[in-house]
Amino acid sequence: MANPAVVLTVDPVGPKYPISEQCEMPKITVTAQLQNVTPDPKVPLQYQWKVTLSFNGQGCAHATQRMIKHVDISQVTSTNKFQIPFTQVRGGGLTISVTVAVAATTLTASTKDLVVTATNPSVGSLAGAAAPNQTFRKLIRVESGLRQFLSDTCPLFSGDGYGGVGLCQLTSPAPTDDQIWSWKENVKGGWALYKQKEAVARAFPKSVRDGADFKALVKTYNEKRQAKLKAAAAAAKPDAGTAAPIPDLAIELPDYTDDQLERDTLRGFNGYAGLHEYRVKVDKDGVLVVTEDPSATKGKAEWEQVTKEERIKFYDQNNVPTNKRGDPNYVEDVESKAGF
Amino acid sequence: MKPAARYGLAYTLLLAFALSLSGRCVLGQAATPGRFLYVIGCDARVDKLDTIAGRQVETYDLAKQTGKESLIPIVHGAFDSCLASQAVYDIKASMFFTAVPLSNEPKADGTKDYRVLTFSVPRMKLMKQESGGESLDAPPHLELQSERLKILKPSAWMPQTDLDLSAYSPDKAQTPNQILESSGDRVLLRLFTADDNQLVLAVADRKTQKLVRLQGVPTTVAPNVHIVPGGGHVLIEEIRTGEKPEKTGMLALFDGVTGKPQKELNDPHIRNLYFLAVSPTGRAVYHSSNNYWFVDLKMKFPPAPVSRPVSKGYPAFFFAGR
Repeated sequence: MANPAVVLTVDPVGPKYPISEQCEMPKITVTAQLQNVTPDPKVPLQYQWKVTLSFNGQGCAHATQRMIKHVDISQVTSTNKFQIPFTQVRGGGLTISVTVAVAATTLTASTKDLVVTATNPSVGSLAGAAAPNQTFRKLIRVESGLRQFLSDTCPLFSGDGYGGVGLCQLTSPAPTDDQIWSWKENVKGGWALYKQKEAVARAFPKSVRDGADFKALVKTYNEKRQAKLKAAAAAAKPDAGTAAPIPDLAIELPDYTDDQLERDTLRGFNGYAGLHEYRVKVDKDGVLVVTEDPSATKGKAEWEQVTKEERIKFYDQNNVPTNKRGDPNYVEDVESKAGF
Repeated sequence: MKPAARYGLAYTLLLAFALSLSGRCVLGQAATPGRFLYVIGCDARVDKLDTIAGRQVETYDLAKQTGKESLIPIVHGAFDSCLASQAVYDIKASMFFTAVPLSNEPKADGTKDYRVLTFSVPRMKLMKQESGGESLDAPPHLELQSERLKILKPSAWMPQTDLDLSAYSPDKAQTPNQILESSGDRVLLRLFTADDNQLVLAVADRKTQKLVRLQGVPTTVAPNVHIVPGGGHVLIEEIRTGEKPEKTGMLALFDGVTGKPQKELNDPHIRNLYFLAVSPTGRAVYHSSNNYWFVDLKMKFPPAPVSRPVSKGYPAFFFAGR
């Protein structure tokens, strides 16, 4: 006579169980069938279920040594059917086990080689979920080519090995487990980061205005202006004696325009590495460039966009390592892409 | 008879003295002032350069010099800002101070908190850590005042950008000017004139209250003019003007006392490198990232630090004797 056993059947059969395009975990029902044993009808059976789902990045390009797990599921049922109550969006190797005591015998069974897989969003789904900001959407295209996953079993990790992941290639702060397996969470995280960088970019002009470097530039500009005006006054009236003191020009450094704010936000998203997208414009001798008001009491300094070449020069001058610079051409790359 | 036995105690003492001298040299204790240039990169790595040998001799990662405590952020991907700014060297205590952010990522308002770390020289051992200020727009400004470190909020510090020349002979005129660099008692100035495009350079001696204009200056721009340690000379990089100014590779050294040209050198290597500093040992040090190049000026200068009102475009650095 054959030995008593419990056998598991899984519906659907698998072995792959895709997370839906809308980031819903698969619906999996498991049935435990007793074989070669007849339970006592007076004693109710208890099926102890255990489900583990984990991903360690093995076999995935550029994955870091990071274990990502769905919280273990343990549940007891009186019937032999069990629908897995996933509470998190996760992919990876799935193992379902059951233990059931029949008379004096404890029977166990486990599944093998089951995998919860990933599904990339369609452009339509992405457009429905991403913030309605074309710059941010173009950024997603540059970061990931609109892909959260490299394949159905692997999230898209950044090639630099720093664990950047998914549609927005979230790197720092390190992405959460949800942001690795749920493209919606990744986009949400990307947008939060974008807004955070926007706040930093918005605050930048004021921090420059208040800084010692800008004050020094203003002082030097006024020195230069004094020299010119004094010479002009002396030339006009050579016998006038000591000229009256020339008051300094009040020089304003404006806030960013919307376009400038957007570009500096993009730069921040990629990493400033010590240099924003704009800097105060100076001439070849390092003297502030100012447009003077006709009233001759005030003037306006201006922002200049840092070119790719100037950015690389700055990094080389300041010993910024190549792998800590980000992409010197990032802003142009994003702006050249199509929105969606 | 063996010499030691013949000359007895006198010989032994002489030998011991000679050995102690050579030992000091071997250990580098008989230090040449300002021989070593320490360059602190944006990533908080310190390159130690021997300006006499003309090469990099050591690299230290300051993040790994803080023991078990992680005092310098570990950054995955691109930096937000540099991990170390300024390097103020205290020659008496043989230590240097640098400001580091507590995190790579700024707070929601764009500010950061900072700490100031003190490292020994040359061992780069962490000696002290203290707060450098909270919620700052930029790193704090560090200054040694009466042998004590002062940590100033960036908004509370303003560099001196010009000099009142009304007491300086021969003109004793309040000529508008800009301080480019200074060292010791000497200040390298750009004098402003009626002609916007004219670059007039001068050295003012604070002690003697004399102003000397440099004569026969080659074509250049203000950022490419440098005072040497002690302020006795001015080094000028010739620039080919055009839409994009380019260095020609020609260097001219001017006497800071007479204002006259003293010598010219040519080194094509420097055309594509960035000026870093002139060492007290007489080397003009150039670099691009951590590739360094040394031009021997065949002169020696006093080991006085050079200061720049605006230090943008330069990594932090200092010279030390060991």
